[in-house]
Amino acid sequence: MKLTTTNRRTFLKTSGQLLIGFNLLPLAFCQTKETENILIDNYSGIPERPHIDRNLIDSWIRLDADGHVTILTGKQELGQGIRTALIQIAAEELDVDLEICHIINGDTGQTANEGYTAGSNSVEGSGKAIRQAAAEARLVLLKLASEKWGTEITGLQVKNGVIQGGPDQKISYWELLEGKYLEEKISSEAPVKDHKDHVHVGKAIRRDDISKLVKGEPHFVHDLRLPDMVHARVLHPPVYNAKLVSIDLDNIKDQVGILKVIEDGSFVAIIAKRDFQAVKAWQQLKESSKWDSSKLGPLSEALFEDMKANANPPQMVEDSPGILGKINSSSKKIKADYQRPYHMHASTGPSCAVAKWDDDYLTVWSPTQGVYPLQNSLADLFGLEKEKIRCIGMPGSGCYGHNGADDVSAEAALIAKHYPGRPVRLQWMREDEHQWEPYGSAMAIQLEAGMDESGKILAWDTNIWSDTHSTRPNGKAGHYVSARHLKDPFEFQKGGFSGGSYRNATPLYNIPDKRLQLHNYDGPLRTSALRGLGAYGNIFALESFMDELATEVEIDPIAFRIKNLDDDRAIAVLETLASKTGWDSKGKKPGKGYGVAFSKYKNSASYFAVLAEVEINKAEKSFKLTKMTGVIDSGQCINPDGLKNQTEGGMVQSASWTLLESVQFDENGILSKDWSSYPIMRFMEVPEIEVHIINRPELPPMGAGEAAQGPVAAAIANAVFDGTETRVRELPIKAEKVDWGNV
Amino acid sequence: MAEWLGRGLQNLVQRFESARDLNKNKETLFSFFKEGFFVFKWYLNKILFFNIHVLFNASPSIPCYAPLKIDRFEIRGINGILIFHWIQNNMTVKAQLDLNGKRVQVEVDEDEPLLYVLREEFGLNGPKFGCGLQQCGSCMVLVDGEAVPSCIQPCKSFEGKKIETIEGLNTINGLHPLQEAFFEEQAAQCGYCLNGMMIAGLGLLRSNPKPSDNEIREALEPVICRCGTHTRFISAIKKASQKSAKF
Ligand code: FES
Ligand code: FES
Repeated sequence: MKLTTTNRRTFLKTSGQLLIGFNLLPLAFCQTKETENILIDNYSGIPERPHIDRNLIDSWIRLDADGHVTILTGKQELGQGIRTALIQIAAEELDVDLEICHIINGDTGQTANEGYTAGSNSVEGSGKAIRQAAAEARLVLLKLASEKWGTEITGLQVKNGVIQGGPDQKISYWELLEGKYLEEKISSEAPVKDHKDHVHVGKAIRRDDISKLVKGEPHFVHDLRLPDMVHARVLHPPVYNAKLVSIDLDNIKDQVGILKVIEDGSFVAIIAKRDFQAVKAWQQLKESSKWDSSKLGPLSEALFEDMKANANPPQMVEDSPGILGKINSSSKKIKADYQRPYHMHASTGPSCAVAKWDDDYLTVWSPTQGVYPLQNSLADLFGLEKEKIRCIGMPGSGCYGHNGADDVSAEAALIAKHYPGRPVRLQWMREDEHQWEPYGSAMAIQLEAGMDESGKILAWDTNIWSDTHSTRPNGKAGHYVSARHLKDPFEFQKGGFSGGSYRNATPLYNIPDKRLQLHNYDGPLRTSALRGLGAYGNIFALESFMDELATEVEIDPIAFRIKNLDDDRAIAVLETLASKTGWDSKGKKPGKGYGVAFSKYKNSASYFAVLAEVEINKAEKSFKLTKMTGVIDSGQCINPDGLKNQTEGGMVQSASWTLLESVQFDENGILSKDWSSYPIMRFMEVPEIEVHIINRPELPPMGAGEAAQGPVAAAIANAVFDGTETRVRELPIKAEKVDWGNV
Repeated sequence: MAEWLGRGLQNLVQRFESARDLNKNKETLFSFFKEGFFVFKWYLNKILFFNIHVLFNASPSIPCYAPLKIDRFEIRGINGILIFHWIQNNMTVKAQLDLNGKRVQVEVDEDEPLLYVLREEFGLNGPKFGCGLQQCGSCMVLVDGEAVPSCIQPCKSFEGKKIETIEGLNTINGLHPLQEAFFEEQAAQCGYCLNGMMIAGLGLLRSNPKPSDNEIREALEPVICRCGTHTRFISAIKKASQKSAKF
């Protein structure tokens, strides 16, 4: 007996005794929350179709559904508000209201390949493409209307997607298109609007997704509930490179709800009906497993010494022959060594992904920063053609770089392969996240400079020791930790060190002679991209050193910076900071410390200057960061509130890294496994935050998401020095590093 | 009831899927045979037959359980088959919960923390798994007006208490003042921590509708936000406190 129906969604298979089928079930019995939540994005106005060529308008802007605009971007929403900003840009050029716009983020089945959402370049990159496509779309539509009416384009006007010619000439974009796609090429000749005519760009448009979040509507990949979905956990080894010796799987197999236990080399995972059943089994597996592991090292105490002793021979990034001679012959010269420890991304929500195999087709719903790189790397992992893999980007918990998002996606796919036909949801446990994410590398930075009597810097020499800041799995399965644990393991090939290590190491200051050498180092911990990459450590060092130089010649730190700058926008952020904070009247006050710092992120993106204020409590031998004021210039500002929000967040996060954080480990593995062994900044310690924007609507927008990380670290160090006379050069800046006898 | 059956059906589908697997994988048969099915077939709103299938026990050492008693139920739709299955398992417990003003019942593993039940049984998204260690506050719910984590305490221990989540805040006329304030202040970046912030804030506003900055900080201290949105959360709660006198 088999009941066939036209609209059933679920196929039920035979069990031997019963042959069953359903119809009308969704109607009758499935009106529960669970089924309502299956669709995360409730706008289904356009049918899915692949993008063909990134040079076509259709790859970015679609007007398929009557009265709606769909924008496509290859970039992911990471909490930075990119969806809203890109909608503003498109709506601006198209002359439509924001309310009718929708956006689809990275999906290999639909959107263009825009690589990774990283390096603060989404608005610069995707925004530019979308702006051009939207302008082109508008032009194409105007041409259509002018042909239809036999009028000149110049006489036409557009209001919310309706073109108006003469008194009774009125037609909407959608009526004009009659269901056709915008398949024209983007000529880049379509004029974009003058910023003076902007109505959406530059406005503090509220993010619509926040209105959904406050109601508890599904949003994250964690909230995805697909029909017949099952739940998985993966048992990671206790430490890098450990090999599984034995594990008691039999006990687990009999447990209620356990659907599958997977053991492939040292890769162990379970699939269960319910999430908690998987968690319970994971706990038991963890307890019953025995591993053979080698010792981790060098340990924290010896790390920086080892870096200097065992790094690769230096790579000359920027040379200036005879620089040391120039420094030595300068009338003022100093040298200093700075350090930053390993830091974590430490996302609030653990990494999570859903994967499903249908025959040899794989679909992965992932919080990755790049759906196409994920597709490439999964193709390598499974030896499968890319075309058989679809990666759909979904929001995850904020990632701030390469965290566990890619690993969990690959693991979900590995696990789902053992349970085909069913979506498998894998969520990491807190300790998986803390122990297995790739950290921001520890770094040592040595700076040496010479000045003349007046405080003009003449020569500057930089040496950096660092592990890599990028091991993103762009096409290489060996970059997934679990791929290395399989019976037939993939090998991890570091693939050279990236330029991320010396990001922002070259001072923007006007210095005639500069040298930069990089000493690449293979450290004990897994590392990759963390917000700002090497810029965080490099700017901490550079801007702390600027303060040391200013102290040496006894010049006000802002004046000293301006003296050595000839970039007007750099000077403007510093001057604005001084005026907004009443810098000139701050002077020296007992029990207070003030510190400033500045950078132009990547020396090519946003300008950011910051003042940190600390309160010193000599009796208790402690200090408190009380306030930070930032000034940012990101060129044309698309959404001032979004820019502020992201900058405030970057400032607090960097303050947390700078004051509190350092990944702890011993020879048996990572010790920072949760929030008590890796404390981050919470409310009682969060300072007051103020952000000012210098908007330059006439200039192109520039990346801003990582601008605050480095300067905040240096500003705090400088403030602590100002208040205590102790120069802390080793992060994190803790009260015990201050020489309290000297205060 | 509809919800209950809906869930039963979902489990059923999974059961049958695993049954297919079982033929290959004999070890897991036991848990499967601890259950049975009611089968209904109906046509044009009439029940044609009602059958109980007890799946017989393969092993004599495992007792065969009687089906649960079902008092009343409704079937809508025109025709089809409905199968309702039961599981008898000595590790499961029944819990009666007062969730967002409704009385609901679940039957789950006795150790299962409330968080999993809220997300999986009731499809809620507000409470989230962050650490499972009562360290981060992502999973906060309001219990008798107080913000508490839900990631460790078993579901059963919440019986007789009033449980509220942010989903319960929506009013017929739209957003609750707290939701409004969070939206207006644009208090979120990724938003993963938002639930904890709102619940911790609500717990505070219930007992102290006009809190000071410091009281807000203290109340939100248990909740982690890695995006650094803290100052906006403080402003949002302040704003909410100005919007309403009672929460
Ligand atoms: S998930 Fe409950 S406190 Fe972190
Ligand atoms: S907004 Fe991302 S964790 Fe708080």
